[in-house]
Amino acid sequence: MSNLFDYKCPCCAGEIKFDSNVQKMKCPYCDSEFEMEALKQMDEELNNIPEDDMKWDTDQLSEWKEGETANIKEYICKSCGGEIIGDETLAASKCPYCDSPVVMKGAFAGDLRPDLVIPFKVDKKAAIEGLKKHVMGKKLLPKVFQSQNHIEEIRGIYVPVWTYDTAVDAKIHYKATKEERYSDKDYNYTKTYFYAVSRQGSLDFESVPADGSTKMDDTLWESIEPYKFKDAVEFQTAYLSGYLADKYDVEAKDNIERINTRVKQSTMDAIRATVTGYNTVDMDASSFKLTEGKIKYVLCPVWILNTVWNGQKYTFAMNGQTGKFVGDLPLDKQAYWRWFGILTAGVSAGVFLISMLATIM
Amino acid sequence: MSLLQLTMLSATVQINGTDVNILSRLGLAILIGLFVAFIITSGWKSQLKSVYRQHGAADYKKDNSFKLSVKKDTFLYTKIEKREKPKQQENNPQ
Repeated sequence: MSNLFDYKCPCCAGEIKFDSNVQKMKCPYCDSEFEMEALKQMDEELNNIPEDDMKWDTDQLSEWKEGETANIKEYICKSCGGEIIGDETLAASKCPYCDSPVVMKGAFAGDLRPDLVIPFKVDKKAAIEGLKKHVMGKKLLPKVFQSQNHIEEIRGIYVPVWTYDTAVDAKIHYKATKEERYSDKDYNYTKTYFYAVSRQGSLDFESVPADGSTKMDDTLWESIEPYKFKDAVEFQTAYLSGYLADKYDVEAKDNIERINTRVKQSTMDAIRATVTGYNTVDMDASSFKLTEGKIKYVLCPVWILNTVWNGQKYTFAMNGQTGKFVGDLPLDKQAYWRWFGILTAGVSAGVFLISMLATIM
Repeated sequence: MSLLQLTMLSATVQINGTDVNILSRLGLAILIGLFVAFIITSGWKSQLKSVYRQHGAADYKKDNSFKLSVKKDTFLYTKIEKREKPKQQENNPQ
């Protein structure tokens, strides 16, 4: 009994058969011809791409030691319901996220103990300078915005962050082409060479962060990255002195999907960079596996300012370690159209004059 | 002759022996002006936005940890496409 190999055509996915005239596998639908060995190899590689395996163990985190939370007070914001904590000497009066008054709830209790903390490296003076620099020189920013954003009320807060370490193993299969162009008297020719490309590799990640607070906008958090976690120190309650700290209300497992997306993307980019020398490259199939996963709870320093202008809320944030400042600014529509008109008139006049001069000379 | 054709004809002047259509030159200059103004103001507008999601986790890759264990490129087949060159019209001798 002969062995029957059911192979699909890599070009049109039709069922291909052995053609005894050309002694190759041939697709009856698109007439493409293939070496048997090449087809068998490609099929084996595609069948070796398993499902993604991206799981994490979230039971590795630490708890508070006895007496450690004695000096920590908990505050609650009446407006947004945010729960923040602070050293007992800190008289917190306003919520750093929504600017509403906060009231002391009582002694802090429960929750997991942070593993690490990145102390503030940038002070309030530098934070205020950062905001001034951020709004300077922006032609389309309303002039009054700079004076109306109560810059002195910028607040330092420790944001609860989950960090994820992992090793990613990836198998990726691509379809790639090389092109050759030539011509004769009557025709232009394009000769395309089709390839099956396989790559397998691994990449390790350390401390990929995701914020653990619903009050810290995730996009705003990612904008102030990166943080240098090798500067993080063992957590002591003394670091809270003078600053507020947000309590986490997002569990470690709730960020896993986003972390998986980020590490997968970076691994795909690293592997894709090894596929070179082709005119086109398209990913066909992929498989990712995570191993050696570790999760830590870290407090990260952020300077935050909330401001309301023209009925819209604007939030600015500064990385309290590196000084990176972010925050979307409003657009002055009148200034936009004014500049659009001036530039159009100026460039049009210039181009017209130059073209006329070129004709005259 | 339509109004448009009349307008285009009347906008044509002779400069150094060359016919120059002022209206079409002006029109092209305005189009270029609009394009350049759009590019510049779009650049200024993008300065106002600084809040973005991260593309991946490249900042957190462990140094020298990338290892490629399999690198296989297999040739499958070729395809040739041809397009006829446009033929020049031959002058009819008669």
